[in-house]
Amino acid sequence: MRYLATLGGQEHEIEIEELAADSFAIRFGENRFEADLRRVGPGSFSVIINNRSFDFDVARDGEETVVASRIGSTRLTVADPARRTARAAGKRREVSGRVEIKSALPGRIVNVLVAPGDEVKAEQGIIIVEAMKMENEVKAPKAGKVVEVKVVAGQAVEKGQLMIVIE
Amino acid sequence: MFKRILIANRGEIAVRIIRACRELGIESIAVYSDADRAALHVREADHAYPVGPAPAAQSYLNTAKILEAAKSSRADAVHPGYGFFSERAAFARSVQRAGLTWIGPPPDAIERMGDKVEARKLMSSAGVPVVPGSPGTLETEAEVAAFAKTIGFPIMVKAAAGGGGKGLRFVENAKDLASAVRTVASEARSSFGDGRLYVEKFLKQPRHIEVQLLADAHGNIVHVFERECSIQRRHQKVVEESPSPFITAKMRAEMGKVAVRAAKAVNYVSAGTIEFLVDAQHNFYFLEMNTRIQVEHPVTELVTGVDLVRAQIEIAAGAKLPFKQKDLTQRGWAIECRIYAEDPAAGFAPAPGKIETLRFPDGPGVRNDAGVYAGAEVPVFYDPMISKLAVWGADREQAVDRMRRALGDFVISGDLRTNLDFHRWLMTNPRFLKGDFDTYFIDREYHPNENGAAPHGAELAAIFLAAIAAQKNANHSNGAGTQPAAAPNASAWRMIGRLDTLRR
Repeated sequence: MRYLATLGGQEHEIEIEELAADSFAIRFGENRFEADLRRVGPGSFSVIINNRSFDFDVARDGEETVVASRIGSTRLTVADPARRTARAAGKRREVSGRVEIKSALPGRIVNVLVAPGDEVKAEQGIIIVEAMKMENEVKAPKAGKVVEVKVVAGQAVEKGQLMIVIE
Repeated sequence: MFKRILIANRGEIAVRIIRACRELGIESIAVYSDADRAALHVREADHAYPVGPAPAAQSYLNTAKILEAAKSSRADAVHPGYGFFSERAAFARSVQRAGLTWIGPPPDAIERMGDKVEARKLMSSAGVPVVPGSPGTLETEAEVAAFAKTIGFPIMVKAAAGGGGKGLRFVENAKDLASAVRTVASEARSSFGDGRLYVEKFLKQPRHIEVQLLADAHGNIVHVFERECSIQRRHQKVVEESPSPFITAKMRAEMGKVAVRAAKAVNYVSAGTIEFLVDAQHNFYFLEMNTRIQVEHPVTELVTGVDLVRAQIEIAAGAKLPFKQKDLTQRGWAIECRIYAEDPAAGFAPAPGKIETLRFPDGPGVRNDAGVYAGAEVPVFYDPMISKLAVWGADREQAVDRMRRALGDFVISGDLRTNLDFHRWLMTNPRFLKGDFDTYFIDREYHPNENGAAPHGAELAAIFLAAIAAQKNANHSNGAGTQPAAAPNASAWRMIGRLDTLRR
């Protein structure tokens, strides 16, 4: 089976071949390794390659896969080539002149500085959110017209919650 | 001694206090908000009382509800932990008026130390050095600007009622002053209901070093040595250690003496902490007093053997301190890493969520104070702390080695991010290892988005294989609608094989 992994902005073409039960050959670039893989928990894997022992806990975070070891965690995306093409096409469709301002953090709206219909300049302060025990001014990422205001002062917002739409 | 203690708090500190109660044979009473019904402190306590909706203002800061719970549970004392009600004199008085014992300092001492401007005046007159700054509070931007001119930029603008890293801004030069004054005043009004400000001169390369105190109600007071707390982000500590690698024995004794003098000036009783700023020339200045147990108390416990929470309870029950200053020593070295649900790559922004996998480190010299368990939610409403990982070693080098090892053993995954990788980075940073840092160390040295040594070779191959196997397993369980059991030693590959068959 072939896969495409993206890690630190770099793409790797990977080929995995089953050699025997629990035993694999992994090829990428110039590299070829033989590995023994055991699943030791719901998201836990033990891998032995050339007698080096690796112990990973693997979790999903949106599109990304997070592989945690004792040294640190590595974030990557994995797809087989067919599915990757479909996703890339989907991404392109999202791009338009509409900008959605979402809360970067869970917090509380202190003040909304704009109303629907207002023209805003790029970098203009549009909303003040209290998070991390501090008040943070959210600025307009581009010039445009405010078409929607989805929050009011005093309201709690979750991470990723839509606050304002600018076109 | 008390029969029942109500703990007006949540998370790891509530669990810590419950443990002390259990060791003393005292029944523990938890309170919980709607978001915390299944929280660890509720599960660990002997009794549990709901006190309102998730937002703290309606639950953990709801005086009427908490006093009602204390009454229904027939508690005879209240322990506030840290945060929430711990430094609110009015609440302490309400507890006392209800005929209960307040496990903390006299409300009057809380009040006098809580007003940072009054505290500065008081300390000056008690002969305690304070950071140069405005003699009183300043009301308007013009007043702040005028005073700033007399001491010169850079300065810190602070809320008179602030503390704990809230309500303060660093101001580099005159042009940033207006917005800093506005935001600090606004934060101060919304967080403390008091918009008054004061100004301090900014000390270059400041270190934050604090002295732990214990005082009983019979006039005995000792210091329990220092904690080095200079590793901070957003003016809040993330790593603490004891001793401090920066100070000499002579300075330690001097700081201890001054801290005792400061506490005596407010007739202090219970555990408390004097925070000092120390400049590059080893001058130290009073910053503020924390009139409560501190988050980082475990490092002091590890090097001195004193159980500070137990001591708080015994002191509140009227006991005399069981030791004198000369009986106390610092043995070895302790370090604590605060493990938070936050994203170091996004400016340490909170990133709470549900914990799926959780394995805590153990083994020699490791202590872990946690408020969560696997399957628990780190709620968005409160401080996103997961646990405090602390280690003890014979010296600083061994303590750092142990911390590095323990951080490697710490496994957490789920719908949240953690600062574990930050701590792992820190424990290998040459400057940190040398003890060469100040409170701006993280801002200057830590660049999480610059990729360090990327995995390669066999390690990279192993990562790819595990990631692909995990993804296939997840797809399989979703697609077929059956959750594969966590069978130890299950063949990851058979799972993948089955999936491929299904797809074809």
